Amino acid sequence: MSQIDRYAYTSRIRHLDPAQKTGLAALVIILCLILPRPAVGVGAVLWMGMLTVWWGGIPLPVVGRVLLAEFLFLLLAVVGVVLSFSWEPPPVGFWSLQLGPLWISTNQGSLALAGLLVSRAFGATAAMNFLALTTPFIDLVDLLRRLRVSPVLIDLMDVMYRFVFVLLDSMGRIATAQQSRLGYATRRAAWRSSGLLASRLFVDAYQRSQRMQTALASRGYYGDLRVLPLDYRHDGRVYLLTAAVVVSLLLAGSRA
Amino acid sequence: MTVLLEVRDLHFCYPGSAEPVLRGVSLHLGAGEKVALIGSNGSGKSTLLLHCNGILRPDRGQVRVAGQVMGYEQQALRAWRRQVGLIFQYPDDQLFSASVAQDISFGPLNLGLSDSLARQRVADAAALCGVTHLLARPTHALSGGEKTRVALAGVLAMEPRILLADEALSTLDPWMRLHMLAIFERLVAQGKSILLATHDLHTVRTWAERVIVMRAGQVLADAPPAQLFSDPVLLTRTGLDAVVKGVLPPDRP
Repeated sequence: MSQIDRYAYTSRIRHLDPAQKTGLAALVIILCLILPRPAVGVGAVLWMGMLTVWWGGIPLPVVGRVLLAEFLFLLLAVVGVVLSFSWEPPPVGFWSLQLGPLWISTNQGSLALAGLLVSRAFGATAAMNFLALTTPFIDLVDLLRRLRVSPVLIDLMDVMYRFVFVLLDSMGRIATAQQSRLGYATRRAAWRSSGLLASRLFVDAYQRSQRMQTALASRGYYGDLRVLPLDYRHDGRVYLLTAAVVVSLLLAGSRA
Repeated sequence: MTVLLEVRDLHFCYPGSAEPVLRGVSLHLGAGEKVALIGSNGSGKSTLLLHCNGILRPDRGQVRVAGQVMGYEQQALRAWRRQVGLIFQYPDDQLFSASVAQDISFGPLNLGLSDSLARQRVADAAALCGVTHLLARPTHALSGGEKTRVALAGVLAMEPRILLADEALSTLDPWMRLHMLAIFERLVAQGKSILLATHDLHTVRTWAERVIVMRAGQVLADAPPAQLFSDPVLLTRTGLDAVVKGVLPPDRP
């Protein structure tokens, strides 16, 4: 999480209006979902990968590694769609492999369906990568605030995001303290230390929340975490870029 | 000297506890004064500071700010916190927002200021605390010293006349501590008053104009550091003689 966060903060388009970046990513995701052609997903991956690297300034190896991991995950997810397992021989028209009494089979329809599913999901994932790697979480929260999402939800997201890092920090310190006293020297000790760490973190989170409540009250908190909206750069060229991406994906989706 | 903050005969016991934490504490803080508040752990320093900011309500006694007895209704508390700011020992407890600029803007907006005024307050407080370059950064990516300065900026953006600091320097390295004390000096030059709870006797001797010593919920001494550290009777009464000599008394573990 912190790595994604770091890339998002150092992205070249960090200060671009998150509404523009989210709009582009959302359109790509919608097109991937509604256009039933694998070329759309492939086109989306190419567009989004390119924009993340050349426009967003995220290193190519980073984007490549993220995409590869997601692609492998998606491949695993469609194994059930591609392959059929049966104790009886498959019907005519299926390619099959017999392993003892077990028949593993597939056919062209299953492969096409799996290809479509993978390409759709991969295209949508690439659009999400673009957003996640170029837009810090606080910008997305700020966008939700502008979109008039419930303040309670926004406040919760804000504080939870902050607490994730505070608790990760606590967890690191407690684990180090345990290690220094051989807390993870044996499997049995490791189990015990992990349990103690989890319970300690729970108490820590509770105590911190109490102290944060006090600190917020000292700055005039009365139930609403009001903060200033962030400043962003609004770039008219993004609309042209978005239009180019949308038109090319529509063309890829309509070609027979 | 105009008295800005006055605490009169404060008594307080936490709910569910049999032992009172404050037993008749009285003290005052003048305009532009630099006062150190010292005392062993559990002596009631933090509890006293929470009372001075209106976070805790005393069982008995009162807190006056600029001569006015402070109330506990929402409007009164808002006026109170506009005048008295409190910075805590651990900045992670104070920084709630993911963005530095947004965190600093929280107090001014709670005072009812417009966005443009709040923005100006954020810029001024950030400049005073030397964190202007951090405004666009996420709070979790700051170092300990940066977090403390941002936390201070969050309080100063409310432009309080009195700053209460609850061991706010205790986790800082010597250089960052000097930096914070330099910010305190600038505040004092602006006529603001500072009450600093600390365990650092070097800071007490070199920075404070007056030292208040607490033990077991009571004020044992209130004197300039030069007088406190040279008066054997005061040192013995406050238990500071052992600290100054570096020898624990036999009755302490």
